[in-house]
Amino acid sequence: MEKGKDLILTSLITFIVTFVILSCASRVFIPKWITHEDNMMSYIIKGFYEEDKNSLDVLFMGNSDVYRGISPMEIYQKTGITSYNFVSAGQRMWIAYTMLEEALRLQKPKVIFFNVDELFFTSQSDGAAHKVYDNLNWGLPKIKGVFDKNYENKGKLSHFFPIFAYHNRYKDLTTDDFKYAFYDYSNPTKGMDLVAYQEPYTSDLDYMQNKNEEDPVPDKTKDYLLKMKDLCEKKGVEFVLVELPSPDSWTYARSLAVEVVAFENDLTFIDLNKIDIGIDWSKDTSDGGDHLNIYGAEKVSSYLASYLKDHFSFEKKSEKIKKQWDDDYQTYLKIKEKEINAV
Amino acid sequence: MSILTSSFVIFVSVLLIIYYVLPQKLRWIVLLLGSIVFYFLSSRWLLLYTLFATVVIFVIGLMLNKYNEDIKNVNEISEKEKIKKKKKRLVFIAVFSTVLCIVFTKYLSFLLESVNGFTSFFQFTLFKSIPKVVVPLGISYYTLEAISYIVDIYRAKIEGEKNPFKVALFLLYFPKIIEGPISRFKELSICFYEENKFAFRNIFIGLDLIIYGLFKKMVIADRAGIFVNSIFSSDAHGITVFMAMLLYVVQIYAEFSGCIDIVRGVSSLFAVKLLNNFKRPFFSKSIQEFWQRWHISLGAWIKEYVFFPVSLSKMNAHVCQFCKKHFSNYWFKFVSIAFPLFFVWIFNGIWHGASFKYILYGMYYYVFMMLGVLFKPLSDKILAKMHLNQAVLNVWRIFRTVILVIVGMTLFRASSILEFGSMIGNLFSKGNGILGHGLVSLDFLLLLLSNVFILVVGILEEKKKFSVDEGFTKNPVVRGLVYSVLISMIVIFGIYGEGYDASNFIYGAF
Repeated sequence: MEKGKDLILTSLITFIVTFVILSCASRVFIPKWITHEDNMMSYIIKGFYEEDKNSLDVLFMGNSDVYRGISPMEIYQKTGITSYNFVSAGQRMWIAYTMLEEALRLQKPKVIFFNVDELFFTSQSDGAAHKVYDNLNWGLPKIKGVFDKNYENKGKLSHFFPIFAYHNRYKDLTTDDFKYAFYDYSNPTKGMDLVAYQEPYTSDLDYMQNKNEEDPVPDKTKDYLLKMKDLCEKKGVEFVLVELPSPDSWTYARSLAVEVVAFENDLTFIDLNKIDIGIDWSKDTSDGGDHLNIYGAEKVSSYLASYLKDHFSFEKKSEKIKKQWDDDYQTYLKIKEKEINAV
Repeated sequence: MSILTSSFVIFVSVLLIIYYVLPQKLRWIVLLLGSIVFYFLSSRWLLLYTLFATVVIFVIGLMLNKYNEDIKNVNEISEKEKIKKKKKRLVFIAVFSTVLCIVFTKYLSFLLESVNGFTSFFQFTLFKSIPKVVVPLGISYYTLEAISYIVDIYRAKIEGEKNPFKVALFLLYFPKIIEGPISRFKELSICFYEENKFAFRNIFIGLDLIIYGLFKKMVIADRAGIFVNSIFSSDAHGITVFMAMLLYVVQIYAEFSGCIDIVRGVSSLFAVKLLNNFKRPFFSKSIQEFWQRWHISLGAWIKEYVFFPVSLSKMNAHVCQFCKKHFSNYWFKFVSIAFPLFFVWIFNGIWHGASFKYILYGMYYYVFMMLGVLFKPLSDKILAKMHLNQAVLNVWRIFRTVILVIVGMTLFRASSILEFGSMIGNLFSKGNGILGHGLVSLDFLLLLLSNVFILVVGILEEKKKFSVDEGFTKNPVVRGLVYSVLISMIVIFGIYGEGYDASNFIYGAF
């Protein structure tokens, strides 16, 4: 006759074995976001976990503008400052907050730059968010993020066990799915989706001149921005707002609205759409003015490198980290060369 | 609320905790309240109709009780006959009005459309608009159980319950309201009020059945359903049609028996044992045996409340007398079986649905069953002369039965008799393969392996070496491993997610 201890033992074995099977299956079944089309999301997020704890001086956060427009390796080469683009495509503020919490759980950077144009998006972006959660490690930030009241999603369980969302992929699995299931996602581009192709921006170059419109920051997203600021303050991290050059998604009205928020909350806001850093819109964009390419990113990174040097002082890195970054820089150069040659 | 949703899991879990926290005597109240909540969440205010019908059935039960008592207390035969007549009238009214309710909710549009079909020959439509009546959840199961309750009191097999809430619990008990099994008052009462003690064994058996049922439903039935849905009502031919027919049988068995397993598993958690509706039907050597192993509770109900009353009726006696007088003993025996079985199969067909297709479905099995009876002496003679090995003979009989069932189920699934005819016609022309209809090779491999697994379980059960009803195993480690594998199979290879309707059970529509 079965007893209580049998129930406990059966439950325990069921839980552990099922957990192991489903965790392994999840890794295999998750689409491997490792190409430019997939925004390199697996490399960007999983690569972040490969960085040594508390080894990063600077974090760049935000949406796709950042992973195309900032090259941490160029900054490192110029200044020795270690940084990472811990970002996601189609990001919304509630995801940004989750990623900030997760980042500060593992790193203690001196400064965090946050690209602000997502402040103007209040709608959902479920597919893009899933790409983040597919790669984010288990932990309190992830749990809080999945259950955030503003993150509407079907199947909360699938955020912890992606197999629930992707189980139908059993028909499409390739050897790559198994190869990349337990792969080393160390990211020598440090969160950059490095592209060299060019698609000129041909519209109005004076996109910041229309001063008659108004586009205030919605309260819903402003709340998250202030929560991010508070969290950074609590952790002793400088929180700086930035907007990368993007005639496709940026306007004077938006810039003004963010300036107001920054002023009211004692935040620094650097709008690179207003500063001439030498962007050539016929060569420096990969998609007609929405995102930059490596040529544009080099100019932005060069500016940020100078800004960081001028405004902050960073501790020297250990030899181990320095060597790792030097090696990564060599790999980065190879990737850059490959991308440039591929065009 | 579908039984395949997380809300159902939460609902059952909460109910289970309250159920076992309360003293044994009060537990049935938790089941009643839970059943009412479940019914309300599933059918909203149609609950009121069901509750009203329950009150009527309860009152009739009490009245029949009184008549039964009166018959016992009265000595005069003429008085007894008078009361019996009253009793008969009352039970007729009760059964008739119960049937009328189901006819109104389920069969009204079919009846009106049939009348319109008839009047269209005379160039006019009698009913310009056909009303759409919302069918209360589990109305067919509810009706059959209500009739069995009334008739059993009438036959003095049980005593009418004096507590209306207990009658309500019998009729509304939530695990069985969706797809059955059709239960009897006496059997359930013992479980509700006497055997409702907590036992780990019940919990384990419940979990075993739930997991096994989910596997059958989500891995096998819903996968087969993808192919079936893409072929039925299409212009497919040959092997493609045959595969759809075969997979439909796989689908309906895995789905219906899977659902019954889940339902029985949930009920077992509450220490309430429900009947098993299936006893490995595909091991049947004849159509007759198939229906003794398939939807057992319906077969048993029809036998008791249709077959026996018709067999014992004056009409049947007249028919048999006539045959005895005018035909040989062989034909007399044949008609004495054929006459009541005709009503059984007409009833079976109509119960399954409101259309001529279902009547034909009932008649299909009736005809083959009667042919079996008719030609049994001849086939026995032939087989005796052939000196066939018993095992070979059994395989042949099983094969023959399976083929007949496949054709019968095709009629059941086809949207009309015309579509059924066209599918059977298309069967003999060249097909275009089985791939490209929603399933890939891996799906067929999964279906094959899963069915082999079910088959092995079936063979072991048939040989009485194992029974899912008795639990997978008593070893907690092995049980945990079996659970893990089955749960993982369901999660990885189950059909669910976007576009999938978890509430869509084939037999849930009855």
